[in-house]
Amino acid sequence: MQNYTLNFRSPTAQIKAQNLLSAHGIKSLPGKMTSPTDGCIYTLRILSDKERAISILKEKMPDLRKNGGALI
Amino acid sequence: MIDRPVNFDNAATTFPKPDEVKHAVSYAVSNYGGNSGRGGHTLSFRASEMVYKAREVIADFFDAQPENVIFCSSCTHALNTAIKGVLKPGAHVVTSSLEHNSVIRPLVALERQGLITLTIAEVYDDDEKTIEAFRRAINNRTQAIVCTLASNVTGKILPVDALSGICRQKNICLIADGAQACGVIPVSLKKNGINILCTSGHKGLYGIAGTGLLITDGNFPIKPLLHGGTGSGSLELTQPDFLPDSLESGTLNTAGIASVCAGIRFLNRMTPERIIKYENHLTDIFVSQLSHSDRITIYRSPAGLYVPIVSFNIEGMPSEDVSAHLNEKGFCLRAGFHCSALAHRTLNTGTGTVRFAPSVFNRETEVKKLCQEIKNMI
Repeated sequence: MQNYTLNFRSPTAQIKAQNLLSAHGIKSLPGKMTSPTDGCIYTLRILSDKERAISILKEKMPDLRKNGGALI
Repeated sequence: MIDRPVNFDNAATTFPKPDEVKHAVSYAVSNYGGNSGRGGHTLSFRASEMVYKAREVIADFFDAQPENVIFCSSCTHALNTAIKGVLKPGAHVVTSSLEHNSVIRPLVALERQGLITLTIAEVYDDDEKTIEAFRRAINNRTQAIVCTLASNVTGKILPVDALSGICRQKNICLIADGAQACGVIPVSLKKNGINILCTSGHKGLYGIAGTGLLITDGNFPIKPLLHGGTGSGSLELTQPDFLPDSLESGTLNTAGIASVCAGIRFLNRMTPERIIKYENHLTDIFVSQLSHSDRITIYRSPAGLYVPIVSFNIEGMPSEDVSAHLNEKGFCLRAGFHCSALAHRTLNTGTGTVRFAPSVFNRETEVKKLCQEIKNMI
């Protein structure tokens, strides 16, 4: 199974992404980790169809990097 | 004889609340026990999902983006955030002669600190005269118009579409106080051209007290009023620079947010058109029953547009005495100055007014009985 984790600075962006992917039938799992350099990172593990997931997020959340959803 | 108090003070806060709001609050307290946007565990994520859903519902109601919906503790909190966050030192601001203290007090505070200059534009029964007053007040240093969408004293609706048109032409920010308008008349950031809308969650939106909203179109940056924990950028000593985090420091009022979401769902279910039609009907009954008396002054012009709020006075009786008498009869109406010094000075009301403000839960029979009690006092 494909497995890819997206990272977000904002918990709001994380939930928005999860909802967007869910609406397109893509399952994901929210989580959180910390980094000594980046602080709190809200994660979203894509459980299927990584390429389509990225494509959807780039289209539906074009301000991802600007608005706290930087993909690390 | 009324055997339970009847609330005609819904302009202060709506009561009763819809059943779905009561259930939403109870459900939130029982099930959304985590702190939204903080932990990496199930309880926190459940709360975060509910909060985001509320942002979506609210954003859809007001034609905005979910991330641009900012949860505040009150409309006053939202207005202070907007006013103090948008204005730069040296700004000139125009406001109206009907403003609530939550608008005029922050503006006067900034003026007295020497940070802004302020012009108060007169509101007339004739909207064209009001628009012209605002137009004349604007100068080349004007950064914002801050005004109410509808007066909490008279219910007078301001010509916001025309004012937003002026703002767009001159690249001026329009900050609107929607406390008496939101949930009562259609309000849309896009259609009405509002840059920043501030409103209560607990009046026309039927949420519980302790809730307010700031909704921005994103065109004018807003500096934070509060600095603190946001659950994001936790290693940085500075506030995040993205919405909603930059303007939401501290733990969110999860149950309150659930209540506002449920309140808007109630409005959508009832449809706003039916609600305003019904509330206007109650107000028309009230005005028609009392307007023939020489001893009752109703602060309303036949030509103007109003939300369902009516201020009145009985000749020779201080407003608080009228309110106290009606309270003994089981009718709750607020008297005095309604936290609107400017409005009462503009109207020259003396000891203030008694304010009638129904909600969708009031009945025709209650309005008629109230009118009879008022007539009995003359």
